[in-house]
Amino acid sequence: METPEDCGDACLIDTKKLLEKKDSVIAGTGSDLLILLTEGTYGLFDGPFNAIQVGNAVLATEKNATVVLLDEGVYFGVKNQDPSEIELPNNTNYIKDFIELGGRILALESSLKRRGLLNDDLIEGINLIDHSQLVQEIEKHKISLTF
Amino acid sequence: MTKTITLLLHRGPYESEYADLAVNFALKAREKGYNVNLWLYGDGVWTPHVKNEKDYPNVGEHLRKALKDGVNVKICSRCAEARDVVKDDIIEGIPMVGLFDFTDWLDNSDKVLTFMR
Repeated sequence: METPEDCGDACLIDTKKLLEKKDSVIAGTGSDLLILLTEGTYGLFDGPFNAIQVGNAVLATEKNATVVLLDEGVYFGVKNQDPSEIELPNNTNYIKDFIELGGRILALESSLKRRGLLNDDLIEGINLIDHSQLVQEIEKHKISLTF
Repeated sequence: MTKTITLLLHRGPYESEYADLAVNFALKAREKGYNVNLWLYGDGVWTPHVKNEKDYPNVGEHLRKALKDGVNVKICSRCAEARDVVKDDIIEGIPMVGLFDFTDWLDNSDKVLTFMR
């Protein structure tokens, strides 16, 4: 298939290239994707990394994407992440690029509270939602993926 | 008009039931006349690594049947590369491709299901 971005065989979404042509990427005229991220980040599962890659790929095809962080997934949005001591790459740039490209990231407030986290602990641009708003997000998206 | 179901498998065989569930779901949906896509993502790329004949039912055997029955199966090339899963090690006929093939499937699906956890 023809792709808007030549990702090569390895297919790591090149957000740097996307940001260079950001104005055309944020058109958002197509169908929306909702990603429910339930897994924590770094060393345990690669769900969060794979989820944000799908999100950035969807944005690259000029469609809208929303990520909801819930359960252990809220750790994905914590600012000042530094996994260098366990020798893993930092996911923060992918999150910031996703937001800058027009993606929405929401965090379920109750999941955050259960882990002793506050809104201020999250990367700028992540908005809190309650259960009622979570239901609304699920209702308004045709497609949702859970990681 | 034939409806399309896309399945995302994000777990590997034997670590959980999800690989079996996804492949068997694909088989049954195909049997019922759906166009079925199966995207192998994350540890899901290990599923076609169950390649050789065994004297007990296994996900590789079911996956071969799914391919034969017309289920579209693709592997995330980045996930495969990260795990050193190479074409020679897996069941034949499954392309290793980039994420845009998956987003293309999403665009053209009536239903999307995720198999993980």
